[in-house]
Amino acid sequence: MDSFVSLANGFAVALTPANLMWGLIGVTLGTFVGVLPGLGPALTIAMLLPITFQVEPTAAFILFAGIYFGAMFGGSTTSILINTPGESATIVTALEGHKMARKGRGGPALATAAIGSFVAGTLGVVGITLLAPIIVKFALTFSPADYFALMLLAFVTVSAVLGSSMVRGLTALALGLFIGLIGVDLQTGQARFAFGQMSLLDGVDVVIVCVGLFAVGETLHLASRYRAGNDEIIAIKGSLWMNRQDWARSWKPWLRGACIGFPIGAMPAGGAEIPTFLSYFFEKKLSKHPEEFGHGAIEGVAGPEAANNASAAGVFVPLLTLGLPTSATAAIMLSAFQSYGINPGPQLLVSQPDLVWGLIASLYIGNVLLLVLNLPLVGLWVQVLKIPTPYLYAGILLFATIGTYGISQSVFDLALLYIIGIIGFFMRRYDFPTSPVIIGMILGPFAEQQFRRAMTISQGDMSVFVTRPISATLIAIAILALVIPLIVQFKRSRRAAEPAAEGQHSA
Amino acid sequence: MTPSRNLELTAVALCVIALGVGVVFMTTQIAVPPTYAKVGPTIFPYTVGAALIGLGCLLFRDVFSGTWSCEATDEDADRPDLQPMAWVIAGLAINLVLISYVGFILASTAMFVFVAKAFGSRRVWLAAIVGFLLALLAYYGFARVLDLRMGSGLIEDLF
Repeated sequence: MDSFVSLANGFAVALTPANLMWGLIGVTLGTFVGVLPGLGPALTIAMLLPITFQVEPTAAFILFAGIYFGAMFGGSTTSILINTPGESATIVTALEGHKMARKGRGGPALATAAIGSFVAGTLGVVGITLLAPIIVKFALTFSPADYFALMLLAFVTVSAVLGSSMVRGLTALALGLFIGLIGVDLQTGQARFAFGQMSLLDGVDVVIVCVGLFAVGETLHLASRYRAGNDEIIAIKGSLWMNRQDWARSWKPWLRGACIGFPIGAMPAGGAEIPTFLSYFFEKKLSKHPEEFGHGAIEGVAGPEAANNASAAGVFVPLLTLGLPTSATAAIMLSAFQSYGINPGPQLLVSQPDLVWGLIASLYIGNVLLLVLNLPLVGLWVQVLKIPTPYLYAGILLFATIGTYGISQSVFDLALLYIIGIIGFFMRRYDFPTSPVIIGMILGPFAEQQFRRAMTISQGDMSVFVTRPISATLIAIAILALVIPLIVQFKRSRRAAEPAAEGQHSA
Repeated sequence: MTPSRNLELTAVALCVIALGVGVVFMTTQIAVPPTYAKVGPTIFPYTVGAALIGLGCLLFRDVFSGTWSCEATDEDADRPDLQPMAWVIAGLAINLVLISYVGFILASTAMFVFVAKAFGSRRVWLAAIVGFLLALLAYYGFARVLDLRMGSGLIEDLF
């Protein structure tokens, strides 16, 4: 029960007036950007990274955690009211939630999403508290080879397993790894891919890549689809509150959603899509009213929303215990740790207990703040959706400029930002995922460091990766994760080919 | 799938291969100190370059097997709207050219007007006022709080 004592200390840290204020700013800002279609937590946190030079780590991470959860809450509001899921994790919410809003039940849909997120967030924090010390104990025995294998597994799962195409996911990852290689190699002092540019010697700033891909790329993409027309905002009619039946139909999906979401989020694979889809699938199977699914079933909002939030909390487990980010947002947080000179990993829990437990406690406080502030204020957040689109996107580019030009005052960086933005546009057009770029760029240098450390220890013997049981297991899982989908695909295409061939025979 | 759209995807696959070849070539230019010969600074770059080349070839396969479904291959999707995109890109270019001469506030106001125009803003003067005020607000709020060095400029020097 040691960890609960630490968690209590964490609450003491997070509940100081100053930190509470950071949390409040975080959830407000997070909800604001979450509500705006096209903006997300990764972008917002990236733009605020310079704050790490101003405030102490605990305050900054409380702010970031608030943004993270606030953006999720805002995102579900948008997908329920205008049916444009900002991120893949809220697709399912849009499915049922938007139908509910169309039927004039937008209020209860928002309420079950908010309360479900709160329930799941609470369970998630308990989960982190219980799980983190166990993983840390295990991770302390990891050698550099094991770490490298773990990162390899994370690379494979975030890029190849999740998402629509393995090849495109891996291509995005490789692009990110390449960007991560730019700059001076820390071990030898050799410049790599700097093209003789002074500004590239320090490497490419993650803010530039993140803002370029997410803000500039997204704006260009929206401009290219300008004719497609605008979405209609559905006004919230009737009561905001859930009736007795809504409660009765919601509480089990909340709990089930949390139980599906947290473990999947906590695995070094991450991703909120799979848990939300799984939860939706389960609720549809278990529901007494399966006929309502597709027409606004409240279980279809309650379950996936809880799963989404629980998996978001789960992502903090590998981040805080292993230094392993499994989402773009977590990767940005990892680079915030770097900017403080803090090395996330199993030592973090011992060396920075106030930071870690304060952060975990603030995840919980953020959920409480979201519940008490945002549900009553939902009318206000809907107003945010009414910002005229010309000003909204022009404003986004203005802030993108300030976020990058402000760091270095370099026109070169600004040009780089816009070039990456154009790449981001093409990635959207040809359906390449963007998160693996961010994860590859931030985690890549860590992976290389661990790889070279392992090779130095083994004196250049590659077999170290397969002779250690942990690393051999992890690499085997990574290879299986790559190969199994290929086999399934191959079998499916053969099965599809056979009837066609038979058809030809009979004809 | 129309041939022109197939061409687009082929170009993407070629770009990925070209990037991979570029990475491998540039890696050969990195001098490796002899003490690091075994696990030097070139192992990762070579791997990434080779991976890009391999993935580019796999993308080729996807082009011809027709399994690459995206916006560009979606028959129902409109062709990209070039006019608004051109306005946005012009706005970015203007900002790049102007920012070191007139400062962040004016350059970004110009960009704001172009981008607003791209998204169908009709009253240019109103966009200019909104953009200017937002840039001013961003400069004093955002930049000062985060202590970003936004540099000098025509407006910035007034205060």
